[in-house]
Amino acid sequence: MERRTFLKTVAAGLGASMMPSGAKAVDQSRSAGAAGKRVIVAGAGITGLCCAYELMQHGVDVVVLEASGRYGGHVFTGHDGLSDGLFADYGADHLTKPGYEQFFRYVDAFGLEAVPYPNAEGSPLPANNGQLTQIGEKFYSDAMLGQPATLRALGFNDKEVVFLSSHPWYELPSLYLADDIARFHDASQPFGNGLDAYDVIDLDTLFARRGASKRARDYLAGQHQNALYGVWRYAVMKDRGIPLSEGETFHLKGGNEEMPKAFAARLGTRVRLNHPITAITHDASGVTVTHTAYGSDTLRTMHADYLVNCISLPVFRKIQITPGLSPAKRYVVDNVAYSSHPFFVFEAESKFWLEDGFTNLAMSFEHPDIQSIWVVPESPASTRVILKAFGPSGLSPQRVLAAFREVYPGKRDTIVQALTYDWSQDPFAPTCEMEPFAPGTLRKFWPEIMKPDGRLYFAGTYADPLSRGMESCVRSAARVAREIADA
Amino acid sequence: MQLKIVGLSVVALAASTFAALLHAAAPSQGLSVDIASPAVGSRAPWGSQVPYAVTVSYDGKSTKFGEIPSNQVVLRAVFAANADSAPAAGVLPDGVAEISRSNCSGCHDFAAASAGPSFAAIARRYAGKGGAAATLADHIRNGSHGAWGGGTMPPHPEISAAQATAIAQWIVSQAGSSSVQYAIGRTGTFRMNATDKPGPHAGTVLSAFYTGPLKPGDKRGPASGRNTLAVHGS
Repeated sequence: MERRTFLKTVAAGLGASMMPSGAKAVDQSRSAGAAGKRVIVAGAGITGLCCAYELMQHGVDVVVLEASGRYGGHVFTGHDGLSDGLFADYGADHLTKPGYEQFFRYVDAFGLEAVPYPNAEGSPLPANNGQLTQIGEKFYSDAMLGQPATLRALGFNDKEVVFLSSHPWYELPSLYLADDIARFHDASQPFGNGLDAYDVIDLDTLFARRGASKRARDYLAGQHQNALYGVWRYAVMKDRGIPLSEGETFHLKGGNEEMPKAFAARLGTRVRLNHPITAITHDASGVTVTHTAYGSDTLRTMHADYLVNCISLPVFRKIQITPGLSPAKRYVVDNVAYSSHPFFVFEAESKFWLEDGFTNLAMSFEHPDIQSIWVVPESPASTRVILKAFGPSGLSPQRVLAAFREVYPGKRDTIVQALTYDWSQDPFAPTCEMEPFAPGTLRKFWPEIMKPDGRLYFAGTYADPLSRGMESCVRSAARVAREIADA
Repeated sequence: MQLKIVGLSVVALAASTFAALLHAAAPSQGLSVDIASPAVGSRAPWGSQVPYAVTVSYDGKSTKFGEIPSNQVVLRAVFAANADSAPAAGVLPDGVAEISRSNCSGCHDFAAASAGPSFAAIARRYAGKGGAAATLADHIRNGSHGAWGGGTMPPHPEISAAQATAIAQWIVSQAGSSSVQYAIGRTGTFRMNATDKPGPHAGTVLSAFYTGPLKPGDKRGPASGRNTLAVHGS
């Protein structure tokens, strides 16, 4: 990472425990005003656990109230139904380098191990690694997708054909937005960079204005996505050194839930499971939370100086807040849109694709019931392999497997198990990342989305300038912990 | 007379002891829908957010023990200029009942964004467009992509054409209304929304419903229990 970017990252609120010299830095970084403060963290997903851990490192008295009977939220590693101790991450899938700088500091600090996970979740890296893309019932390799004749036949215009002959497809946004991204002199916020007018149009309109072909626009999928937010997002990625490929991919040895487990182990009894919050009252002097405990409907109360909401907003807004949130914060809470999708997990007895002459099983499909499939890193303890696939929410894993068998270009597979976890039916952690803002709405969200409402603070994937997996969770968590410690 | 009362008391005591010995209070076999909170006679400021809790028991099962899924409980909140006497719960629109029976609410809320757009936002998007209900019913059954950004509406082959039509028609005709709030789940919140200058008798009338399956011969109403309640504004 460039020194400039690293310093910005630190300044943006790296955790007290994450300062460069490691554990010894913890005490040195404690804020003078932190001792004696008491904070309630709502929600024990990765954001809540990280925020509580950071508050603890600042010397703050903290307790985490979690409504469900497990911590980790949308970071969930499942073993049930799989052989040989194999596992699958049903929520957060992978880490990236670059892009997960703060997360990797926790990996190092807790002695966890990141395992290379090539082509994770459709990642284009490593390139030319045997990926196949289905277009119009034909499968294309990376090399084929760079051939001018192929590109013309697919409908790209002359400018795009020249560009894509020497650049991978994922770099296509830079062909049309490079000038706009370069104008972002301050990527810490979206406005004031000369592009404010983009707030009212969508990215697709911007691509069309720049002469993008229909084929390119379909690939770039910018319809209904706020153009200013889209350009700003690319600017933040550039500022943080994240390439358009999104970088190399990894997962944690033992599953990504090792990170929530590491936080929870350090927090100990500060994490209270099955303690759903039913109401929050707040004023200038503090907060009072009403909650229940497992197996009892008796309402209990707990007082603190601050509350950090780390519950995803569609769940949080079912909790009574008195007095009500400000109209600006209420808009944010009611209107942040999220993605939510399941992974479909297959266990195979062997790398069957090798027998069919494919070097990798990293394929994308044009089938309504399955969009892509890839291989999870092998375990030395098993000859079996775990595959993950993208398919629509609500479908049975058997239906998605049937779709795979319909479109797989080889002769046969050795899949013996198909599983999924339907997040849309999870009452506590139904959502994943934040969806891009709609045209005309960014001014209503920014900067309100980052701000506290009195003594109620907000952290989560949406509360960082770049909503991007677990990194945005831990960044926002550490930022809020620092803000409270310094308050 | 005195002797008779004592006798009855003894019978009542014996009966209650017997029931306690069997298993505390035996669950009611019939449908019971009870608004456990807010309490009767509650007041709440206009504009405030108020928590609710509903307990449903039916066929020996109860929401209290997770035996009745939370999404089979629906709360309706309606502004009433005179809420001194809460009317009967009435009937839940078919579309809302079908929403609660499906997995719709996993991604869609009634008036706020979630993993999918709210029903109110969908109603606004399709307001006044011909064939809107048919289009939405098709999207429900067969899925759609790109209508709201990068998200995908998955297909729902498990929802029948009639169910999809009921949901779509309700969305188009009523989901955009701000005067009626719905919430799915045994707990949640509603807002004290006033549609006009509220007088001293004004309030929000709550009605709770069970939308789960019934045994042959059973009818959905009238359920026992306090399934309707008025909260006066303050």
